Amino acid sequence: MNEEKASVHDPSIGSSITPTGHRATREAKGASAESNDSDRPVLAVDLGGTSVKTALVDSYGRVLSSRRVPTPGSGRGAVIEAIRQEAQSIATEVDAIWPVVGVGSPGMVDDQGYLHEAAVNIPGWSDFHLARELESALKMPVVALNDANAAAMGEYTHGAGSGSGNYAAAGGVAAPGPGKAPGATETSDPGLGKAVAGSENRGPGKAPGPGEAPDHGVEESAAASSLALVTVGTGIGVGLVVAGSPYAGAHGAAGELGHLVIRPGGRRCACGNRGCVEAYASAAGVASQTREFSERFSDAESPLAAWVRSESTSEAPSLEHIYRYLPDGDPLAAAVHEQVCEALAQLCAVIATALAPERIVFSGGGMGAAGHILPVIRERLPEYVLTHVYRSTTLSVATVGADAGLIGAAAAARRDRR
Amino acid sequence: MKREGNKPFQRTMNRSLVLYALRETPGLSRRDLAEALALDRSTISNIVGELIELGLLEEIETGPNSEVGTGARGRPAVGLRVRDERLCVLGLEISAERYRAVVRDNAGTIRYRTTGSRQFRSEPGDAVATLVAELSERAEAHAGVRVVGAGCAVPGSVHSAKAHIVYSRELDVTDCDLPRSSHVGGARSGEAGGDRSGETGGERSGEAGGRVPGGAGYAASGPGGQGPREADGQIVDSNRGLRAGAGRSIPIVYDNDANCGAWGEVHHGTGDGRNLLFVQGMPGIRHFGIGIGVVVDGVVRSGANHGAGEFCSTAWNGDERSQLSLDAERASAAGTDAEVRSRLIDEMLRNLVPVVSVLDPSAVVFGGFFREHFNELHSHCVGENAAGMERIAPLFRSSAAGVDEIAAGAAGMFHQQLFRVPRYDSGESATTVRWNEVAALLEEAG
Repeated sequence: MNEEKASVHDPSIGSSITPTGHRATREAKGASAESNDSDRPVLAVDLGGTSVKTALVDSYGRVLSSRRVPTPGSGRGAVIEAIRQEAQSIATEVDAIWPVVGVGSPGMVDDQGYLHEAAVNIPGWSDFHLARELESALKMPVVALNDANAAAMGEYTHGAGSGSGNYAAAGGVAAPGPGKAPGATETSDPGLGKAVAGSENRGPGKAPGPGEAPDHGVEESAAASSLALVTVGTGIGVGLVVAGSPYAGAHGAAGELGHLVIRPGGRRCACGNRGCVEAYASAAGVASQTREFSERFSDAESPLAAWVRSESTSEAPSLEHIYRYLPDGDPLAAAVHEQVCEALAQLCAVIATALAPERIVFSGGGMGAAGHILPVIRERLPEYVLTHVYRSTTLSVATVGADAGLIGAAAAARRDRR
Repeated sequence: MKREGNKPFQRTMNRSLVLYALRETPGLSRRDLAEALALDRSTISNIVGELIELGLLEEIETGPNSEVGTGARGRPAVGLRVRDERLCVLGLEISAERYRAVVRDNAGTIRYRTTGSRQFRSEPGDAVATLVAELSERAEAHAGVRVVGAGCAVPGSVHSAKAHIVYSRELDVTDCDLPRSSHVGGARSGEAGGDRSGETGGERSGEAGGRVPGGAGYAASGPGGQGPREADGQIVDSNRGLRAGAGRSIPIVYDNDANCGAWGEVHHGTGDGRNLLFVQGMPGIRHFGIGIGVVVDGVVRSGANHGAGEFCSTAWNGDERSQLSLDAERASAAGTDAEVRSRLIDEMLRNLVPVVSVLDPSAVVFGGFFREHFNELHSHCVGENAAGMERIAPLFRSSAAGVDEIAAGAAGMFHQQLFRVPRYDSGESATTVRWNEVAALLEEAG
């Protein structure tokens, strides 16, 4: 932590972010460093190839307010400036915000916030210290993480089964659950950088060693479990939470599994290799397989094949189409369904073997079809994974919805121990 | 074991925090500790005084130029250090018919080592308890070291918190409890039915005879099992009428063997031990086992139901179906048959690539059979059929500790658990090592 960061981190000061770095010093109402921290919403950013989303997220994981602008196409500087402007605008809506900003970004972001590489259409968006550049722009500490990890974190802290007592309905805003604040299992209070103090009435909490990140020296609890979030859409993304924290790996590449080869010599993928997961289960892979297999079936045998061939079709075949026709036994739909399920089953087997997370959660446009896909994966996992491993892993559909990245970036910011 | 109330828990936790802080930064003064942990000077003084008396800490001189511990008025404050050389732990690696053992202190120095034959199949618990007791006595006789705990590396899936083997092909057991301690000198070791702590929440223990934790080691298995009860500070096992309390009780902590190798790398490997894989190859009599220890953020992760890293065995799930294309008998010839070995290595690497993709480790460390044949690994990672292996080859390393990698790692695992700050609800966990027990053993040693 460098000198500059130390000086700007002052939770008692209201946080209007100004371009020149001169901070407005409105006092937060009745705020002191210890007492009201957890009431303050987190400023969270979800950066994508298409749009920049900014939001204020409260300690219950509720999105209090959000903004969205298109991602500038001109390069790194413009994107950072856009983030700065959006952050400044939204921060004015409240008196005080949490003293750390959470930012999700596509690409390989390591646990120091350095961006190694990103397959996204933003010129210059690779090989730079993302967190530091944002900190310079925002004049506040920043936690930067990969966007898939941010979404996984959102699902981990506020999805169904998170133990938080409340979860956001798909696409919607969470309401607090009955009486129970989130963090019953995972405390989001950074004030516990201290030992249990002398007062005998203070209950025990999670107290990491001095100056250390939470898990050093503190026993893993049953609640600090692991989760993998598999997003099935344009690409196949995997976000990881291990023992309660987003897991980036040594180079920010943990979970980069879209081009994992599950079938050596298999289908050609857009990346140039053969047999990648994406070749079978991504939107492009589904479209191409549907078109290719349709030649095996006559119109009479397969209404889906007929549709694919029809002149008036401008839509690309998608999982939605597959599952529209599958219940009637359409053989083309069944053939594609088989490939998709097999690819995702193998992906889950790899995740389970490596990490054995308690939960593997699915999201993405393709997972409207989860009801068809998950049962097949569950059936197949035992072929690839040891019994006691797959029995401990539940497969389910994500519940947090489109705001998962924002909610997760906010959760990561709350856990930051500065 | 009774759960402690809040007050004694706070004392336990604060004591662990002091020890943890001093392990991370030797030489801190009482004032440094008070500041770092946000505790009163008097609280710190009490804890430090108690730990010095128990023989776990000692004061050291810190000179005027030292960076830590400058006292008031510019006088150098007295620094503190953990007495590493007193924390000697037995690290044990077992297989169906053999064992390897080291005694390692907290600084990582190996003070004693030995190997031998012993039957561990079918009833590994009894054999381990007996062996721990024997080796402790031998280590004391031959090397003058007093063993204060044991870490045991078990081939197979191990539930460390319950001291329980989920499944081990090598040892031919399923759902098997293990003793949480071994009794040395006095009543018989390895009796079933008790657990090791006789504390009622006080801060001190270790008075001779009275509060020494009882010897009977096994957790009561099954729901309705009769646990031990306390009488006058001693454990009475109502199942067998065994009266423990004489002699001393050495706590034992368990984990899967590949995980122990990973612990070893975290503590005394070269380079970045924060995110790595430890890949262990173990030729067995009827199979060839391959396990992975997964380290994330400097901690070995077992995953749900301790399944992480259960990689390939040529016979799994109890039947003879092979995950590799080699059957068990052929695979066990890998040591002598170059062609079999080549196929085995090739398949292991192909299965490893996806795991590396999930975890993005900074290093992949090879132990056991793969360490012995480390030079052959790279030759598989080039050429047309390399399929992603060339990408991971730069991560390969051979384990730092050589043949002692698992046993020393198991000892390192015990040290790690010893210095972990406990959670309030971890009272039942078999990996929670109580400083009181260790201190009792030290006090007896003098």
